[in-house]
Amino acid sequence: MSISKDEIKKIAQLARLELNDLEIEKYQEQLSSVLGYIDKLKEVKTSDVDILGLDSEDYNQLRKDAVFPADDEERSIALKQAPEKEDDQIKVERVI
Amino acid sequence: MTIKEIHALLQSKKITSLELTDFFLDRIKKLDPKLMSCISVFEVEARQFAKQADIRISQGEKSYLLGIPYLLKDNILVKGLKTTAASKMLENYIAPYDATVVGKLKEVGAVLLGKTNLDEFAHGASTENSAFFTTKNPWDLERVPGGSSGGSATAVSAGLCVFALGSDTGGSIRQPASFCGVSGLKPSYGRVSRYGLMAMTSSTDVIGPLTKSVEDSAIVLQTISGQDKFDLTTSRQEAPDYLKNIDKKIKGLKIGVVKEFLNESLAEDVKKGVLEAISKFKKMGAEVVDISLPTNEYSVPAYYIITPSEVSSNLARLDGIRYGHSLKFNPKGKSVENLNEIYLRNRGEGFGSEAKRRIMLGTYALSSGYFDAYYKKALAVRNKIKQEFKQAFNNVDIILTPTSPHIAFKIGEQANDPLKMYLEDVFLCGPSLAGLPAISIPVGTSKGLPFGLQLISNKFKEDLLLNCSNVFQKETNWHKNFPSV
Repeated sequence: MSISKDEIKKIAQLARLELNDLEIEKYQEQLSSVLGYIDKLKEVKTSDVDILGLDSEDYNQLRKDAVFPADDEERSIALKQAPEKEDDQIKVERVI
Repeated sequence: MTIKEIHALLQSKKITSLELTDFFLDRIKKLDPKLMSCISVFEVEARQFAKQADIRISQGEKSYLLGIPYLLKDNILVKGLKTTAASKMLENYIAPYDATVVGKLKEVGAVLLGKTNLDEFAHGASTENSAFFTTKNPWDLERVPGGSSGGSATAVSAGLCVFALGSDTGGSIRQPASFCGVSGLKPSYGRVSRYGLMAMTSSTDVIGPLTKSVEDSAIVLQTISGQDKFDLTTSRQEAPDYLKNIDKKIKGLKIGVVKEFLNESLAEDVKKGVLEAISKFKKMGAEVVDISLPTNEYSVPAYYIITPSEVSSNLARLDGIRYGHSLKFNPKGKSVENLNEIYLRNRGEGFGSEAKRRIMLGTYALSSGYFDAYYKKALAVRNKIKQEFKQAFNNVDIILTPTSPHIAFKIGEQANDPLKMYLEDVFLCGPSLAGLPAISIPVGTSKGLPFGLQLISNKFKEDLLLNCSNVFQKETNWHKNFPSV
């Protein structure tokens, strides 16, 4: 199972990972090898298997749609780590 | 010493928790430069926890874990303290809240000593993928401790703490327990809250204890188990009393063994040790039954599609914008390209190669055109594996397998072959995919290095699992061997 360099570049872009040329080559080799092994899954007959297979406990648990006050200390520790802030809000680069 | 023995000393005031804590802090100072098991040691906080514990003991409180020092794998959040996931991405990250298990341990008065090393984001089976340093196996400093909970396994084995917590997604507690000669328990999925555990594979991750004995494991499991409103995948079933029947005789217990597992893929000594353990169980009155798990050989490829897929989703939140590794960067005026640049560079630099490899694998498996062939197929295989285990448990109470086909390998030996590393998990992925509880206990040595045996039980039957492995330890001494560091 071989992946092309172009496909590696495309996946890296989708995953927002910057890779250098050495990395692109290395990952092409390694991913091809892993995917080659994973192709083994084709041998398993799964036409009779339901993919969700939920257990008896797996059903939605809901809670009341109510407001809970946030822990101030938690909030301040979280905000303190943003690299750029303005007025207690996290600043991001232009999106549109 | 066992938790019960230390507890007795604390309760009878023969030692204080502060003395005990100082003992372990000194031991870490002395031995850890060689072992490299800890990323952070919280000396000041540990002493504070210990002093509070001593006050509570004098007030008559009696919980088993009150005043007992422990270590945490560094992917479990502790409020106000560094939690790094052994990644450059979170090198200086301070957790804003406590994981639920940490809250529970604080409530009973256990003493947190620090955070242990792991493979970055728990991706790995050797702790070599840590962005900071590789932890050494205390039995042979040139060998790996296993992974991804390598730091915790080394620390418990070398006596740097009384117990440690790790996380297990595809073997990450059990395999290092085997390589380091300690007992490592992966509870059922949903037995222990994942709130505050940095998510890797959300559908298989579990937190569990690494200890010197099965009895200690039961005590820790009792404390950390339970339903949690912050983790809706936790079971609504209450945890039973794990110590109640832990010494019960196992006469008539049905233990299933898969003959195909005991083949030439096992190292000679490991095969011998496992067969001897099987005879031991027979002598103790258990009935050993041949069972078949034909789809288990596909558990590794299924796992290595499902895991990277979930990883690629879970790590998408790490972009350096709200927290984490972020580069000082020169924006191109008001260009929209700036945001994309930030993502590419922060993530490209912040993640190590295994993390990137898994993100890429997952992104590929989930992308349009490949989703059906890979991800959906893996889910179907997973289900088949789950059904096979369910059927097996109609005929047996416990399933027995080796934990790892071999003893700890040398540092660097497998570093260039990611596929070989993935195959470490051949006996371990199945129970993870099926959400079943499994434990690794020491069962022999080879060339001076320990190896373990895996026991698996049906979902939420940890009491039976602990009972079976405990009585084995009562009749053998493998778990009493410790390395001289």
